[in-house]
Amino acid sequence: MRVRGPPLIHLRKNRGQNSMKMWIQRTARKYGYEIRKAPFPGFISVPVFDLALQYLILVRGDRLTLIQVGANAGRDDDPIRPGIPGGPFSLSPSPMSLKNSKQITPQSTTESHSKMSLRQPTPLHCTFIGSHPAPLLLTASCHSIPQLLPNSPVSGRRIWLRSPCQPLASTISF
Amino acid sequence: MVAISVPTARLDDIVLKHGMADLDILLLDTEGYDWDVIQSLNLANTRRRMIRFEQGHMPPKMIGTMTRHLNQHGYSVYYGGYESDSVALRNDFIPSP
Repeated sequence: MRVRGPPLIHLRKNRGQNSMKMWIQRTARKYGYEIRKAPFPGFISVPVFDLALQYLILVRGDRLTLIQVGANAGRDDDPIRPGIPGGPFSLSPSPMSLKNSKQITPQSTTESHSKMSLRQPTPLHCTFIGSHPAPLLLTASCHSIPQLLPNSPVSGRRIWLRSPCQPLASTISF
Repeated sequence: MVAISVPTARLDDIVLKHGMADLDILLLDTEGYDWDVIQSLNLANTRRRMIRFEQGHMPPKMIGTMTRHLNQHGYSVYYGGYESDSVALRNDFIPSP
């Protein structure tokens, strides 16, 4: 009688390969690494952050509040900037925060910082706390809360806000 | 090597002082110090709806500890893998109808 399916010898071979593969995967996982089949180039992961950000913008509108701690200064490689192009919000480095950051931690003043074109008035909710390198991490420099002021100038689809951004050093007693 | 003094403050103190306890988004990118920042937060008494952190610089054990900590405080953590940072969303991020 002819049995459908792959020949038995192939099954035994595959079983050996599978057990070896599983052993390698288990061992790697034990040390905190994952070995898996690389996704097809056309595949993309579910963009959890982007979806959540869009949801918050829809739900919270101009009451949205955010704080950034660390390396991102609201411009280059900023995860939040691509999520809100042309929307009601505009992110931009605060001139005051950059100035303070440069004064306090000159090592962290990257090329991109120095090339930033800073707009006036400061757009809203640029909140920038900290900068790397790591030993100089806890440099608090700027804080602002988004506030939609009635007299904010409107430019295209963007609403520019007069932000109450002030350097933390002058508003907080450390 | 030159030691310099810089003013520092706990993030929670800054947030509370400025009335931002119900913060929507907290973005962390502190080159391996994200767990230190999260540990300093009082997650029980304040509401951060979304926390994004950079797991790439952390050892696996630290990622596990931090994930358990966030889970215990009502966050679901979405691992970013090699492609992206990870995201923690509060379990009431989307309120039930």
